Amino acid sequence: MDFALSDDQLTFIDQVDRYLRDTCPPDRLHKAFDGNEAIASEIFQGLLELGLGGLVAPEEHGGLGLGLLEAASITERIGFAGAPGPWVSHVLAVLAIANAGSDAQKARWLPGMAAGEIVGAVALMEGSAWSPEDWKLSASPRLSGAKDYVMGLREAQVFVVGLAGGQLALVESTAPGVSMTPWFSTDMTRPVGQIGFDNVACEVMPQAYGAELLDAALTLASADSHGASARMVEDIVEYSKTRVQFDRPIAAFQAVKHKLADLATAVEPNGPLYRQTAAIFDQTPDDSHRAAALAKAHITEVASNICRIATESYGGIGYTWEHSAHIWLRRAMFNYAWMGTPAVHRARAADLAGW
Amino acid sequence: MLAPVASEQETFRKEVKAFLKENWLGAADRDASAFRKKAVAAGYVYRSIPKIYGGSEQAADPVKAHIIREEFDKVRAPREVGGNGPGLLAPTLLACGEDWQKEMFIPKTLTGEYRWAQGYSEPGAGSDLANIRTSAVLEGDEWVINGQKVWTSDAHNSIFMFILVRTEPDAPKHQGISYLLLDMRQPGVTVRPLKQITGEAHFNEIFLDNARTPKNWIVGERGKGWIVSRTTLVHERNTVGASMGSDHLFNQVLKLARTTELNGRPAIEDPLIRDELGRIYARVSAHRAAGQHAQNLAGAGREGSPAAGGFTKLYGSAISESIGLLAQRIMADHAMAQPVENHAGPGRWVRQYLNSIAAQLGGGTSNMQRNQIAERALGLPRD
Repeated sequence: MDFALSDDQLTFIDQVDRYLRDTCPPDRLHKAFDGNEAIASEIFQGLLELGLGGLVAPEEHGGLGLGLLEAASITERIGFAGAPGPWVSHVLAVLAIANAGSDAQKARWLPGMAAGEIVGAVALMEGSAWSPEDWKLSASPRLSGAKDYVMGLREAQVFVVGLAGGQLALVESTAPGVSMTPWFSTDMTRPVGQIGFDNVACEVMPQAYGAELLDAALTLASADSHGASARMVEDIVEYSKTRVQFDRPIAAFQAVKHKLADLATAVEPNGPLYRQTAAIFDQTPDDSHRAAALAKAHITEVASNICRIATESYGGIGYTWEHSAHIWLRRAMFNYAWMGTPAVHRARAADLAGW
Repeated sequence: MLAPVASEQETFRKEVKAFLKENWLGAADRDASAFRKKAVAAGYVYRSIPKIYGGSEQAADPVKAHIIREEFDKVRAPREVGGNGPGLLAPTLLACGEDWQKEMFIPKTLTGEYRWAQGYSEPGAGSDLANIRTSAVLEGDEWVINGQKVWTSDAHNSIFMFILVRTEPDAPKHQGISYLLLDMRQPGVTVRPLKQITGEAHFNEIFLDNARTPKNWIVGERGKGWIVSRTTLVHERNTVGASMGSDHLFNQVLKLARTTELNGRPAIEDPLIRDELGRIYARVSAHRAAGQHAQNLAGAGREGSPAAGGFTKLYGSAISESIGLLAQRIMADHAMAQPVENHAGPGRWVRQYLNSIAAQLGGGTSNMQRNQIAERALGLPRD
């Protein structure tokens, strides 16, 4: 399976990278992290205006008609930049509407989402229940209950809500009976919270797309974590060349050098792994459940360890709030826990393999 | 969305399959050398070696090379002759040897008639290979060699050896080394098998006591042997298939887990064993994806990471270690008694567990790989 990126794709990703480098220097990132919503919104809106809002929306609805491979590759760069905003949630909402929605629903939402005028979000977890098989909410015909750990509460105008049986419903943020409870979040670049529904009017989408949406969510979490861990390694490598102790850069100590080589070695194959997983989703969906479970289990766990070790490698400065290391460490912690922990998905992958 | 998979590759694969169907009779075919001649003529083996020296002289194409390996291995058809000769000596001679040396040694090396031992490591020169002490002194028209080599693979099957010796004792250590060729069939060369911790003996110690070789059996100039020995011709770098060994080993340990009882039920039903299998399988998958990625890049004519070889060796040998550790958990009490060789049961894995150590030593220890990655890929200072 060929999952190498074409020159066109690379050029596109380069553009996104340039935008992220310009808009996410450490001082702005820290302000956004500390709750400056204006900066966070500006960075996220700018991303959508690059045309990314409709990355996975069909061209007839104003999108770019690209697949999860491209979306995941962009997600990696966003994770690398530590960019604030509910990017992953928005992409998943677009993907859900594009694949599960009726023609009318697609026409209603996708053009605005593609143009960056409407932000979407997914509301999937119920407490710790991440699996579509364990979703309990139902629209019969109105929606009551709550969804937890929802990313994009503040930004989204439309929510894709997971229902029992893997069904999905569309709910507008302004619908009567919708309530939002933001939580103090571990990863403040992507704060989460609870969305409550009290007898809310909703539209169920015709296709039950929950299982596929889960695969996409796991793949994007993997890509984001890979980006975060790659950034942490790049930064600690540079720092170790300039930080002097005992009259030499700490990178000259083999204890440091070998640790950094091990981190780089652990990062190296994870890019190909998530890209392959995304390509499987796009091209051979029958194998997607197992591949996505495996990638999430492996990459979000390894990336979290890498970020933890890299943070420690800074010494005292890495343990401060004002240093940037914890921005990516927390990002990796979020991806580790979101939509099921690595151990759970590892067990699921083993079952799916028929072991 | 994605560019369609290049059909050129599929056409080539069909050609290879057709060649094998017509010319390889399977395991019943005892005459590997006749088959290999046809494979050379078709351009499938010895692709980097000029036709005048018995090769097939093909343009470098890592994707084609990978397809050939895959298709040949599927039907167990012989490819290049194994051992140090075709893989190490022939490329070195091509890069640094004189024409008469190439004519004299390469063709018969490719057919397997000349087998070669590699005389590099010494008791005092392991990772610090340039520290070798074995000396060669010119007496008339001959070099006279004294010293000891160790970890010399395949020496008991070889008639020749390429050897690193110190010819300029007063020069700085990297500049005092020469690369010589040596006929092992002489009284000054003693080969002693080296028994490994597994009980097998794939390596040897070589004692050189006034061994002699002609003055002109030197490759490259005097004192330039270190550089000659580093000349690995990167013709079709094989990072693509590097995960195949991990895949194979994983399937074996999976089978062990299915067929071995642990606490009264198949080991594979134990949640801790399943978790570890899952962890290892994810790493095997990542390793495989990285190899596939390297192939995709090569197919598109793009460069991979500068330290891809170091990454893949460090990653792969760590997988091998983890599989060995998992096998030990599954073996449980069986690990205390080793059955006779070729036994199919869990005791067979004692050997695998011990052998996983070799994966982290051979071809440069894991710590040497870490140095290489740190210096070449990350740009960290040298020791």
